[in-house]
Amino acid sequence: MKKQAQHIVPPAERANLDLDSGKYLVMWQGPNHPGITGNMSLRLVIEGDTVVDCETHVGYLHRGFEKLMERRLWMQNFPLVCRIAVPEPDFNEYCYAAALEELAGIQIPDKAVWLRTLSLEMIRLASFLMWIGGQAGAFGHGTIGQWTVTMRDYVLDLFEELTGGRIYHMFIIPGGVRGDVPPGFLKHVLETMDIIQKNLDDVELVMFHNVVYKMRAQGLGYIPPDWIDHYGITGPNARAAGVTRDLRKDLGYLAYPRLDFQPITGTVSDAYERSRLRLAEMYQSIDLIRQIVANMPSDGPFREKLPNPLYWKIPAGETYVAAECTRGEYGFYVVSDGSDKPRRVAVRGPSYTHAVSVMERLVRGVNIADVAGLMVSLHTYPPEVER
Amino acid sequence: MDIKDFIAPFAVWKRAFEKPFTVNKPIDERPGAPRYRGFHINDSARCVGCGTCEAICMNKAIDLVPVDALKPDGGDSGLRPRVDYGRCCWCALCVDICPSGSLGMSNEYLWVDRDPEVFRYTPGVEAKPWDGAELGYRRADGYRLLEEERVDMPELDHHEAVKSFLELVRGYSRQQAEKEADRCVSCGVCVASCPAHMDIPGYIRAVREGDLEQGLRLLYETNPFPEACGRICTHLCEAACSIGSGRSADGTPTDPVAIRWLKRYIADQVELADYGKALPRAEAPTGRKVAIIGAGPGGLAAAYYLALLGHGVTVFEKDEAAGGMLRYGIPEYRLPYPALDKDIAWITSLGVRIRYGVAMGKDLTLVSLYGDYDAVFLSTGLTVAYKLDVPGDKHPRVLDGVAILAAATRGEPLGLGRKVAVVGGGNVAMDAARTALRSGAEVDIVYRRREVDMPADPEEIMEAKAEGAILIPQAIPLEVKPAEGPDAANKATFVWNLAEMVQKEPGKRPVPEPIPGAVVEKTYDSIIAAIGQGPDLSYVAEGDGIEIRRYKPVIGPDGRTSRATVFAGGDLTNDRKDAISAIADGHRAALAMDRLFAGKEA
Amino acid sequence: MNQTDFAGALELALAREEAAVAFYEELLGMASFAAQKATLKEFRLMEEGHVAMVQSMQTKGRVNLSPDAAVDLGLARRLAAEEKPAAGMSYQQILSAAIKKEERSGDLYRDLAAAAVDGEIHLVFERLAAEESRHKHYFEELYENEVSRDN
Ligand SMILES: Cc1cc2nc3c(=O)[nH]c(=O)nc-3n(C[C@H](O)[C@H](O)[C@H](O)COP(=O)(O)OP(=O)(O)OC[C@H]3O[C@@H](n4cnc5c(N)ncnc54)[C@H](O)[C@@H]3O)c2cc1C
Ligand code: SF4
Ligand code: SF4
Repeated sequence: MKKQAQHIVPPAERANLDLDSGKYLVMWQGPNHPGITGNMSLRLVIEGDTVVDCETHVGYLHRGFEKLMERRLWMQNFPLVCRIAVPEPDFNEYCYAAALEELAGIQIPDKAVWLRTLSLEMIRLASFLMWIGGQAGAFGHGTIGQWTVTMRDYVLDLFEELTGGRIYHMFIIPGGVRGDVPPGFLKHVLETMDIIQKNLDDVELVMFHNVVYKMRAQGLGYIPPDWIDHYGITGPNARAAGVTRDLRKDLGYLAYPRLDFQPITGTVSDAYERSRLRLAEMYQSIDLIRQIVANMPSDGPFREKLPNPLYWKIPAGETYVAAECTRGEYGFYVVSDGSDKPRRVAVRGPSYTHAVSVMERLVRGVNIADVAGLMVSLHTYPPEVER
Repeated sequence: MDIKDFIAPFAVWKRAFEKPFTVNKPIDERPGAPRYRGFHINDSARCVGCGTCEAICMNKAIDLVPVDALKPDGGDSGLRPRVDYGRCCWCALCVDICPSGSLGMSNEYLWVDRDPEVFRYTPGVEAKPWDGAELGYRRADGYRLLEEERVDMPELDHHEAVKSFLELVRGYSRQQAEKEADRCVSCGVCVASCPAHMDIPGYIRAVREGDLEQGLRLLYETNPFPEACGRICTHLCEAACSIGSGRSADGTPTDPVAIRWLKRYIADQVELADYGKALPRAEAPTGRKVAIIGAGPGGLAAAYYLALLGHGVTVFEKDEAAGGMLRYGIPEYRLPYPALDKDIAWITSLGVRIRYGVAMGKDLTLVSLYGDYDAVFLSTGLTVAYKLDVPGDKHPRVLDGVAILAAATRGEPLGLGRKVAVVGGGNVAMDAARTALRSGAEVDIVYRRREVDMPADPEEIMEAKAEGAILIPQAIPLEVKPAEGPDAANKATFVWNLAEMVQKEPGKRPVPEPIPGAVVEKTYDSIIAAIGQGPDLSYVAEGDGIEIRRYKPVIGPDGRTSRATVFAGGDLTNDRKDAISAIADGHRAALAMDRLFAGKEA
Repeated sequence: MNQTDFAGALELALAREEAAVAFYEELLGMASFAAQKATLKEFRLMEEGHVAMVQSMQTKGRVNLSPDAAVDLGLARRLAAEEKPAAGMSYQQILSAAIKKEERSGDLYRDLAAAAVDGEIHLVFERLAAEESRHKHYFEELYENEVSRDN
């Protein structure tokens, strides 16, 4: 049963622990952890089975994307950026393309706006489907993952049909998208949404009305609302704390202003609340996808012609373009010095905040068995921490 | 906690008996989606080996490699892309950019082998099971990374054009030129096709980057007639251009880059007074002297490069102005005299001396030059117009095309009359026809073969027709007869036999065979023969030591005749008979002479 | 000359080839510059080759010529050059004259073949006619490719 009715908030300062006292054990989680929580590591100090201190360590997955981009033509970076966040590549594609379009003063066709929105919602759903399997699994509930990873694969089938790729879609190209929908595609989308919705109903039943899940997730990882701005927490982690912050509404990019939806918020701000909220957002995505299919123009150009990619130069300037990904604010800061390559690109993945700073503090006082579940409840992707 | 929280989890059991979602390989096949980005396929016959795929690939997964079965020729490098799947990220940017549209991807994604080396192969050359796959990624209609249409060239409309000798093609503005230059992918397949091997990607780049002085410098490295060639060059480069090797969505060929117009743009934009800032000056005098016979593009190109190297050059020219057929052949609506004069002015500014009105063979003999000059270059072109060679071809109303064009250059009255026949299908015929049109005549172009067989530039034919010339193809000249009726003395009747084309020998072009009885007669004020020209070699005497075979001086690969210090080039010796080949010949001879003087060759 | 037997037929052919050599010889006498002379000498050399060929057939006692006539490009029938070229002759005039000459020889052999009663003699003249057609074709192609380039 729950240990504390009241949420404890770990203090900002780390305790000064005498590691030689024999009271503590230093233990590493990662970087070889097989889940999404892997690829980075936590240096945990435990007392009994309680974590009393933590240091987050990153650097195991550094591929140097931002630097690589400075040595590639603007268009050559288009296939590169998707790889920054593997389960959710499309936000990279969108932010990069939109940043370039803004700097170069390019207006993309309406059809492209809709197809981009469709891609982003589809990948949001796919990413949540993968996450929920991880969340359930971290608390010992492997079956959910088997179901939802299959559902995710159905979304990837849709991506394969639309873009020719399952994981890396490379569809949102500067200027628009790379193709119109193939015949029959939208029908497949709607059919798939029905299947997924039915499955989510099952997930809701067996995961959220589950005594084990409730006991382990409720009260875990409480994020007080005043942390939100202090750490720069965004996305479901912020919304579960009652902060109405959703870039789809706040920035109103792509076709979102033309879609009917409201940001979903919670109150309790613990692991359970966050996962319920994400589940609700999956239903919301399904609804948005149906709206997109219903409202998208059936024809029209889907890409604006750009100059020859071999010499394309973008006027000097800088911009920051952000979008609401599953984990919160995803952003690209792009600087052009007027040449044919970016001068600097900096990628903001929300996991930097959530996995490195928030996790480090939040994990203190948590039972060792709940560390992975807590981390998943923050929905962190180490690849986007290290660009 | 609710009782439901204890019971609900058991609902998972309901799925235990459902059919699994997984696919049972190899019992169940799971083909990739129709757009799947699987292993590459390349239609090697359409691929031109331009390497644009290699240039765009950010993973350096593509190498262009020589393929034994392929011979490089104009517009095909003979190379083909080899893909390394150890590097490829399947982005298909290579497919998107491929100018020929030959590259695609199959929807095949399974390939198992123990040998890691096999995963690097040349699609379309090394056979693979997925070759010719119908499905797989192709770039979508309405999506191209490269611009398939060229920037329209502003031109006079044909009704206007035919009223005067004003230049038809107006030239690109800066914005137009830079946009057109942006279409180039710098593959360089054009360079091999250019007789002068101009650095085409280099000067196009200069246009793109707005560095016209650099552009001019590159032009002059291989061609001192950029103003002229920028207008009238036969532009083999454009036929080779990889950008023109594709098919647009409507099935028509994509437009090659307007290389010739870009060359013209550079030369037009730099004032002659500023040439000195961009171009090299002559080296210190070497004391060597070269005589050049003929101030056409061949002779003057040799003069330019010799003068640059510091050799003293004297050009002997029978006419009163320089330029050869560029001046006395090509009409000014295609090549205005100020443009030609600009090219020539720069050449003479290097100290090249031209002695006008000196006809070799008449005013001077070749042997007399041998003593005074270290070397001689012959580029006297083709000055003899061949005759119709039918009975009655000496009729006074039978005129010769080059003579008419020369008269037009000199501003002499042409006196062609109202109805004119032009016999022939080459550039001379087209120019004569369009000159006649500008003098107010109605013009028939009578040609022995089909329109597709005409050696003239397709654009020229198109324009001649647009300006009102009537084309009468498959017409074999039979005879010229005295005219009858009023004013008969100033007319002639042209008789021809309509022909059908017969494929007489396999692999050769079809032969026009007269259709029995299909004889046509028409009376004209003038009949202009433009069937071909030959050289006037009467100035070469047997004792000059220059071997001649079939009216051509015999030359070696560097343009040297059988006499060690005499070189020849231009229309006189080459088969292409165009300005750029003459220029290339002149350049080549200049370099050979320089080697000769340096004692690097016997 | 008796053209009804084998020896007579070859005798006649030999005479014609020798006449051809003389023809170019005559033109050479009129030629004034190197280009003309080189071309005429080359053509004369060809005819001398033909003379040698007929002589070898005489010694061997059989005709080893291909029966395949060359394609007729139709130039001989329409070219105007009946008159003999003079001093300033151009390449066109020389080629025209050569084509005409070959055509005349071919015509003669064809007539003789038609008139021949003896099957063997008929064959000999047919083959000689075919040979002349090949010579003519050679000059016709030169004319098409180098003189009449534009028509
Ligand atoms: C009507 C026409 C249209 C053409 N259009 C094109 C075109 O669009 N594009 C293209 O690339 N090419 C074109 N050409 C071909 C091009 O003009 C020639 O290939 C080029 O000019 C050849 O250069 P050249 O220096 O060899 O000879 P020419 O330009 O013929 O120059 C020979 C020079 O030698 C002089 N000369 C001759 N004999 C003597 C002598 N005995 N003593 C002293 N001087 C002598 C002549 O007066 C002349 O100035 C055209 C030609 C003609 C006739
Ligand atoms: S034609 Fe296409 S496939 Fe061939 S080399 Fe060029 S870009 Fe590559
Ligand atoms: S698919 Fe992409 S990575 Fe692969 S060869 Fe083509 S351009 Fe290179």
